[in-house]
Amino acid sequence: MHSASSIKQKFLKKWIMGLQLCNSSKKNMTIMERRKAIKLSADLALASVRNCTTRWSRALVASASQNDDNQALLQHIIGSDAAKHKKASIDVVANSTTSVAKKIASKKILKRSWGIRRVRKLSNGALKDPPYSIAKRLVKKRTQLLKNLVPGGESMDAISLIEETLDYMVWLRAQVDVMRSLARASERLDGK
Amino acid sequence: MNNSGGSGGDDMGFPDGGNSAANCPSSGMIANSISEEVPMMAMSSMSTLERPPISVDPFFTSGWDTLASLSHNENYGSSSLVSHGNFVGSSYPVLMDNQGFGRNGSTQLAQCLSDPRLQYIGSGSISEMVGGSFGLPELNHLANHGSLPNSASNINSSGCERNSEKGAQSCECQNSGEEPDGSSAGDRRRKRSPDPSSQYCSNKNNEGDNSDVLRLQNEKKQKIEQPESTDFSKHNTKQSKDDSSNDGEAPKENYLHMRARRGQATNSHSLAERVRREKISERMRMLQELVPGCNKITGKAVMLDEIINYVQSLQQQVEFLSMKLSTLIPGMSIDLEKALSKEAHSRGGGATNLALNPGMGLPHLYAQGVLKGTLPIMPSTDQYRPLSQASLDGELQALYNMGFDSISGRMKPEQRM
Repeated sequence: MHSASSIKQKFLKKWIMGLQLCNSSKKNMTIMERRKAIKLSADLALASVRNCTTRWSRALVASASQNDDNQALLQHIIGSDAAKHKKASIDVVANSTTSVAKKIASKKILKRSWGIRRVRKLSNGALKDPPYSIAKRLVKKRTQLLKNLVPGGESMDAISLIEETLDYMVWLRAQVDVMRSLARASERLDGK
Repeated sequence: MNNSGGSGGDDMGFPDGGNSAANCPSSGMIANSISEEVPMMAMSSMSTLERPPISVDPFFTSGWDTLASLSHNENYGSSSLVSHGNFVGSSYPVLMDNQGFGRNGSTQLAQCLSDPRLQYIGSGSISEMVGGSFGLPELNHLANHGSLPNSASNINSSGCERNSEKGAQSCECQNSGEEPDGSSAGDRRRKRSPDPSSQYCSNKNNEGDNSDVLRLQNEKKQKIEQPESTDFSKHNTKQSKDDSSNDGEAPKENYLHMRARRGQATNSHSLAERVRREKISERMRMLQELVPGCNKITGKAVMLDEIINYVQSLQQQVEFLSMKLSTLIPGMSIDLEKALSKEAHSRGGGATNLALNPGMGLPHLYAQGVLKGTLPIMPSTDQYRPLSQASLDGELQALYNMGFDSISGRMKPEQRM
């Protein structure tokens, strides 16, 4: 419990730092830009608090670092651990690019084998029940969806995907809580 | 007859590992001889196999006063012995009829098999059956040595598994050290351990039913056990150390230990498949605790669906909140400090409710029942109560409309500016 609030406070501090940095750089921002900045700084703060140990945090950092506009923000938030995080992010980026190429190649092979497998499946229809194969297909579809949702989840197998999802869910919830409380507090302030 | 029979039995029992017939009658003797060394057996399985040649002799010299010796065993103060003696005793009348232990292989086997109790010994499922019913690790070792020496090591490992399943803290501590998120591994294991044990129990019950009916197939089953054991012979030495073999969470070691259950394929591929599947289902269970309202859902597809919905809704909430914040906090610096101070006050009250401790790693979180912690969170944010997942979309729509309106400069942030 103590660690929860302390981590949230750390997150909050970093986030606000990022927001201030954003604000100082551009004076007049539209709502959308502001929202983006808020979200981005929130994501980065989240990732940095997690110390880039998890895959999704690294993926977040990597995707953020790809966009050059965010460099200043990134460096400010990530701060002293820049070297480690940059390495991690570079790894992730490299992994993602190589995995994308691999995936394309492997998909072609898969497509070729799908035809064969389908023939074999039809011949072995008695062994596997149709509901079983339907369920499998459903599961595959949904894991694909999940992979798209979780940042950095495209190149992970099912087991680590579920782990990452778990972690990501917890952190998302934390993020939501912090943002919500901040919003509430600022509303109260402004309401006065 | 006794000495020669003893030596003959020894010769046939141990060098000839495949001769189950020899082991059937000698099982009782071995068990008896081993009963003396029950405390020490927990440590060494293989050494006891070597010991009987020495200690078997006293039993042999006494002739088939095994019944007497069995009653003698009761004095050793372990109920497992009593139980063991009880059911082995029933087989003795059968064995006593046979002259020369292990000499007449086929007849021995037939008569071994004819006894339903001995079937359990021969099939090697004794550890699961007897151990399950009596729940003592020593009994497993006893039973192990009553069975084929090939599968003895196999079942000994299952005995070790039982040790872990019975909640031996040492195993969990040992394994938790290996876990990256160490503090929670124990919890995770404690959660997992009932599952394999329940699987074993169900398996054992099935075996009990089957072997009553199928007597002749016992031979086949013995043979199945042997390849299984040969598959695991290489894992064997490590398995006694790595007690959570069913968990397979040993990042230090590159491969996972998995015991093939009876009647299942022992192909290395299918084993790996099974390990993988169990891992996945394990994590799905953890996810189930996290995602609210997923206690009753069984099945990967539905669970995944719920998870996806939940993650999506969380992400939408983040978007929504960031939008809201962007409308609320244009002038960031001063307000933020005040907001921080205010928020610290509000957080101080709410901190106790928040059971989220992401910093301690995943599994610890789940072990503490995060669901309990999240429920107070939702009601506590009273103005966001309508932000349930169902109505989130509506809220989001409303806010986006508000946000779009504010771009044209009519809303408060512009006024404040």
